[in-house]
Amino acid sequence: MMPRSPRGVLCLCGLMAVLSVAAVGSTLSGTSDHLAAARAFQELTGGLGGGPTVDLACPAHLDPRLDGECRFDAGPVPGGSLLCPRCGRELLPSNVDMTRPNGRTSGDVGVR
Amino acid sequence: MSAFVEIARTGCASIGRHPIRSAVTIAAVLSVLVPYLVGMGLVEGIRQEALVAIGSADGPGAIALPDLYVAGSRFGRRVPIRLAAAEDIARFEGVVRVIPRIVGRVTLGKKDVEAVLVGLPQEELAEAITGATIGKVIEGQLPRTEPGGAPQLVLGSALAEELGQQVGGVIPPILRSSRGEKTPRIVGIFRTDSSMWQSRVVLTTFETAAELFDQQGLATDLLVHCRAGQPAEVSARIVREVRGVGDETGIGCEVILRSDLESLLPVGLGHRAGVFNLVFVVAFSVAILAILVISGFGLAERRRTIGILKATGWQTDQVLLRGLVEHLLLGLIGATASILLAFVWLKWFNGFWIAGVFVSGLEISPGIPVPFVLAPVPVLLAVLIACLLVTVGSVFSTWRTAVTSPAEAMR
Repeated sequence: MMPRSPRGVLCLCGLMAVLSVAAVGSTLSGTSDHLAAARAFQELTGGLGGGPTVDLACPAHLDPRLDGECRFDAGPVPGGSLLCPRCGRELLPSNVDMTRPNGRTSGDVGVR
Repeated sequence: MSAFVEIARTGCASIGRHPIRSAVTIAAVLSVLVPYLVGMGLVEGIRQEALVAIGSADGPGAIALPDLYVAGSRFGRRVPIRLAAAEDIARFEGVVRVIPRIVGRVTLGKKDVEAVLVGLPQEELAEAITGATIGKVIEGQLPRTEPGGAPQLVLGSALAEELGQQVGGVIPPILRSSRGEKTPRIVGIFRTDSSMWQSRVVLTTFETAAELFDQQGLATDLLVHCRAGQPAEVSARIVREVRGVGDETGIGCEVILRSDLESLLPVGLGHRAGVFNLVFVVAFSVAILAILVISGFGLAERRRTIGILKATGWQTDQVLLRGLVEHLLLGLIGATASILLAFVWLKWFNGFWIAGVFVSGLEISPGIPVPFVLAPVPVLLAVLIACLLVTVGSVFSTWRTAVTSPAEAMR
């Protein structure tokens, strides 16, 4: 409900501004514990991650140290990057992942 | 001055006097700004975590990560490297230690849940994390290799949840390799708040990882720690001298310096943020037009009000000032409401749906706390944009009405 008096409108503005500043401040200050845990995880694994994905469907997207470039990008072919299960995920269903190691023998892949 | 304040007061009052018009304008601002702020919040959160992941000097806090990542190279592509290369590199001047690592893709359980298997030597795992900090990262204990014993694994939090696993559980079905069948045992689970990239990781010892993949004598990469100031020299020497190590086909070496990553990461993230910003520049342009139309919502009422003001002696600049105050305040309310809604979406709804747009591999309802930071610059930009949008969108119609005669405006 909008306050009807000018004082009410100004109070609403002031209150929301204070709450916004508090919200922004809490996101800036509330990350130190999390970052300490993140540092410990990175030291444990020797550095893993940095990219915008959490699985190995496209190694370059998980961690540029694992692969320098997207292996599925068809380069100059128009729409070539859509062949990647990660780069092209905006246009193709995310479950279209022909690179999944399903169906191979366990000896090739590991755990089945 | 008092006349000025009085005009501003009437501008304030008109917000409450036309609640539907005000609500529609604020809703228009929210529809544009909330996704923008949520997106920029996620980008900044991921950027901060990524800086930690690469051990950047600009990142928060010092971190002891390797200086070089050495892999094999064949036809210009990164391939696994032979373990024999580690011994050669360890002898180079300036090298402190070399750690082999396996990073591979596996599927687990009956549902073929996808995971990232990471294997590091047992002694390196124990050295990397002490008893005091292990609790911050893992619930349980570090994996060990016991001769003849079950392979020990530490699962990522999302993976454990998907597989319905707890510490002490086993993963069915049975592991198969050329060395026989074994049942992997879960000895720990990563804490959900440790890192975004832990969610699908399976951490184990190097020996277990090599056994799981049934590929002995190879590593995905070698992690090389160097003395200060020497990584570049060591890197050049590795590329020059470590060739065809135990491989008659002439496999070469590819080296990534941590400093390279520090320059690479801002470019990559900047590209993503830039594309996102570009999309929103288009959205903002459309929003100005939309608010022009929306400000036509209740236009008859506004024309009548302005006509009455003009008839009672108000000047055009006074009418414009009144409109300016009204719309600036509406913009401010819209911007602050957007910031609060973005905060609620990211903090309490954990980036429901939108986190999956930015981080692929996450579910619609992410199983990990999504990293986000509402940085001051995008937030101030949002406030500026909201005030500009609403003011630019409505000032034109106000001015058009204010310059016509009162009789015409009230008709």
